Amino acid sequence: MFILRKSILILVCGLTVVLTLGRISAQEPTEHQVKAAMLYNFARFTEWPASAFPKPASPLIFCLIQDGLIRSALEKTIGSKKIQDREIQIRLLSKPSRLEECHLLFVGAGDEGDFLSWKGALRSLPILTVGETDKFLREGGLIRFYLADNKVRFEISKEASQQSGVQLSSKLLSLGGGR
Amino acid sequence: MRQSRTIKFKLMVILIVTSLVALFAKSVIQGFQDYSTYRDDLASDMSTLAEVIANNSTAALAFSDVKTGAEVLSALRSVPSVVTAKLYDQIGNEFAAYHRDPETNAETAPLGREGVRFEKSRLNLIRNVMLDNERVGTLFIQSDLSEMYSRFRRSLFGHALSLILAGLIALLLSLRLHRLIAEPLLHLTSTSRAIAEKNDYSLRAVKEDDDEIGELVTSFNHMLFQIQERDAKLTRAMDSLELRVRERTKQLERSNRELQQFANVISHDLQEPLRKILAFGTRLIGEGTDRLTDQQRDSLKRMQNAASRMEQLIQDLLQFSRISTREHTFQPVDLAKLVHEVLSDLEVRVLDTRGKVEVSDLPVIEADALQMRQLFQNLIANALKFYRKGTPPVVSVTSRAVGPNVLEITVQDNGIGFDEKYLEKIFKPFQRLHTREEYEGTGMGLAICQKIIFRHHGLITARSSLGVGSTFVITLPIKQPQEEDTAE
Repeated sequence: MFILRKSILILVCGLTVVLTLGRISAQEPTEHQVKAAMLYNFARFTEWPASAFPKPASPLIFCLIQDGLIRSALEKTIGSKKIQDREIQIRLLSKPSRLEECHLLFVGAGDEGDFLSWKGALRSLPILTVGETDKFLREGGLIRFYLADNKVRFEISKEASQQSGVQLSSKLLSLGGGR
Repeated sequence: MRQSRTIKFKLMVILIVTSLVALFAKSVIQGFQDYSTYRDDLASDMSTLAEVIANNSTAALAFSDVKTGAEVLSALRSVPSVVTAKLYDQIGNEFAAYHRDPETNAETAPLGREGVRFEKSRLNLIRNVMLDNERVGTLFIQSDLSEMYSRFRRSLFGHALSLILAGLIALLLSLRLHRLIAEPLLHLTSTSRAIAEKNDYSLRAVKEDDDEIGELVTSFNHMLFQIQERDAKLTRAMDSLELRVRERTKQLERSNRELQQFANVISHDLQEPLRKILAFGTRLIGEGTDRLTDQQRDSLKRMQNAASRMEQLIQDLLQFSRISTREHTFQPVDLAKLVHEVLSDLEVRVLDTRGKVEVSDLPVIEADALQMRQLFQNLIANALKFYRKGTPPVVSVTSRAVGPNVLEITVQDNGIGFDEKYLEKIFKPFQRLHTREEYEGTGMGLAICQKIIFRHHGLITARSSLGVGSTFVITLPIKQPQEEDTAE
């Protein structure tokens, strides 16, 4: 839907597109770019407990298991933006050792194995986990992306969110509580 | 009662107009206040609403979820005054819309700066949708002002109603309250009118209150008291004055009567010895013609002349004094006939002087016939007597009515005339302008004339210039006034 709207916009007034923020490129946005923007927006509608931050001004940390297209898209989207006055840092995670520092964990379709092995450590941590597979929510994830009508949609597991200690905004729930 | 109605009316008008003007001013001010309050209320209501909607639409905008955006906007259905609401995304493209009436596709208002703007019948509200200090979109809400206006109309209607109600109350109150002022004034007015009509200064106004009107009543009553007192004093003074005048008049009448009687008696008694002197003188001249010398005869003649002049004087004096002692015997007198008789008496004198007497029409008037005869006798005789040597006297007697009851008679001659500075002198007894040698006479003629005229309630005067002639002018009432003055 977003893509459709965008394409129409580009046709109607291409000039304004140039002036838009980095979140949206001049080209038709890729699936990665759309997902990166969504990740950023998820964080905006999420509240972490104070214990999740070592200091009041500590940055918000987005963790990725694998380097890839999603990282560059995310870096482009975020730029120097802040969420709730916190800076955003993107971190690559190969081991679960520094998992407690993460606030958002993106689990790519190929990272499913790592996610399952870290599940024990994840359960006690207030981390917003976002995955891509159909069974991600059943495995204990909070939000999963899926494609419908060639558009990126997302689904939220209210149960998991309640357990994790991460508070998702009702506005977000109303958008992603569809299934 | 016309005046009383106006004062009542004025007071009522004052009361009603004052209260209505005050209320009207208050209503106008309140109307403005209401209007601005309603506007402010609406603006603040809409702002609150916009804040809620904007807050609810952040996620929809962030995730470009048009469906949710429309849902958020559709919550405005519960606010009937909202006509249109629209969400625009970050770059100003329409994202979701709500229309109260689905058919009317409201015009897309150009997005301006954030804020509330009133238009003719619409209120436009523009608000940025913020998320983490970032503008994720814009909310536009347009509401109908008809509800506000109908509210305003209701308040205006209420004000008008209260104005009418207050006017009625003011009318009712003024109907009672005006009495406070009007009643004492009306009482004062009616009292003063009663005084003016009846001339009764013993009336008093009743004081009802200690206000200015009460003070007015007090001073009004005081004034009445003073008038009454002055009246009484004046009456007393007049009474005593009248008494004094009456006394004095009586005294004067008495002395006048005594004087007249005295003159009468004296004249009478003087005539007796005179007649003897004349008689014996005549006898002396007749008997002793031979024995008397010419000188003696001359002396006797002179004595005789003096005696007869004295007799004349006494007769004139008697006549003069009798004018006023005579009883009133006014009756119609034909002046034409009377003057004719006088002329026949004077015929010898006219022939002697070769003079002429012209008499025009003379009317019948009410008078004492004898005295009228005396009057014309004296006047015409005078005119014939004082003629210029060599010029035969021409005398004319004329008359004309100068008023409804006033007759003017003139006796004009072409004689020697007199200087008008002696005008007063000639009407006094024994006053002569000429020597006895020039013109004979006792000097009583005109005095008698004046006295007769006065007795007939008339006037006599004269115009003259030396060497041209004299005109004697008499004004007499045609009918004598009905007065019975016992004092004469």
